[in-house]
Amino acid sequence: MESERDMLETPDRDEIAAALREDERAAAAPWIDYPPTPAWYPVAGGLWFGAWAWIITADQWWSTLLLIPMVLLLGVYVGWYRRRRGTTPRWTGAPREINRALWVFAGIAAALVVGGLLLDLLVGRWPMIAWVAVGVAAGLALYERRYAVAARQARARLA
Amino acid sequence: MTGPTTPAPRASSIGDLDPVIHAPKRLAAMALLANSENADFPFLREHLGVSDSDLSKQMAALETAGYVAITKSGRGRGATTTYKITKPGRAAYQRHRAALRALLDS
Repeated sequence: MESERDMLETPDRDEIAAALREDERAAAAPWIDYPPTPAWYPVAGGLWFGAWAWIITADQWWSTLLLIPMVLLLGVYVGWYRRRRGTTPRWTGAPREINRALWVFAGIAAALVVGGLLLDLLVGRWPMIAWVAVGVAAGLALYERRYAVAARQARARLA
Repeated sequence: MTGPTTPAPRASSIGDLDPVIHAPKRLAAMALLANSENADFPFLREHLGVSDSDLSKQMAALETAGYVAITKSGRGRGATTTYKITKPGRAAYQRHRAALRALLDS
């Protein structure tokens, strides 16, 4: 009896090329097919990181306890976002346009960390907290815009 | 003195293609799952542009082959079905993709 493998017909070059194109588009889907990011996301991110910076530099007996609801809040957000997006991309294999946006993200994160440390050392705690809150909000807004452009470019290339 | 020899790469043939993955919708599903931690039913349905029943059928074929693991959670309207590629599934997908590329290059 013929196996399923034996019954495969040899695909022609056009069919193979089309299959590989569809394969590349599908592989990029977890990165580039996503619902619009809510407008409140950068502000909420800034507030969360600002609160985190305030808590970990408070140096009070109660400050560690406050980290628990903060982590829970983050967990609720991550769970909600995963359900909303429907998928979670792996860290490897992003389309090249998205890779460039990820480098922008890494640059923003590095600038925020270095700036925050310098402000805390040279100026004080409250300017550092303000830097973190405002910087994260602005950085996330910038990154989201850059990511949306990258996703649009990747969708156009793979269409 | 001759060192150990590496066998010459075998030319790809139709026999290297995986019949389970060869169907276009299943190949797309495998490509998507190979590049994600997991994906839920509505995301796959939207991306593949198929009906509920067709998606269920295609994913059942991949599950039967051991290429995809299916997780169902919740009940009623809030129920979700999530798909994740398995280790053998990832290996089979990579082999199939390599075979397609080799056929194109041959």
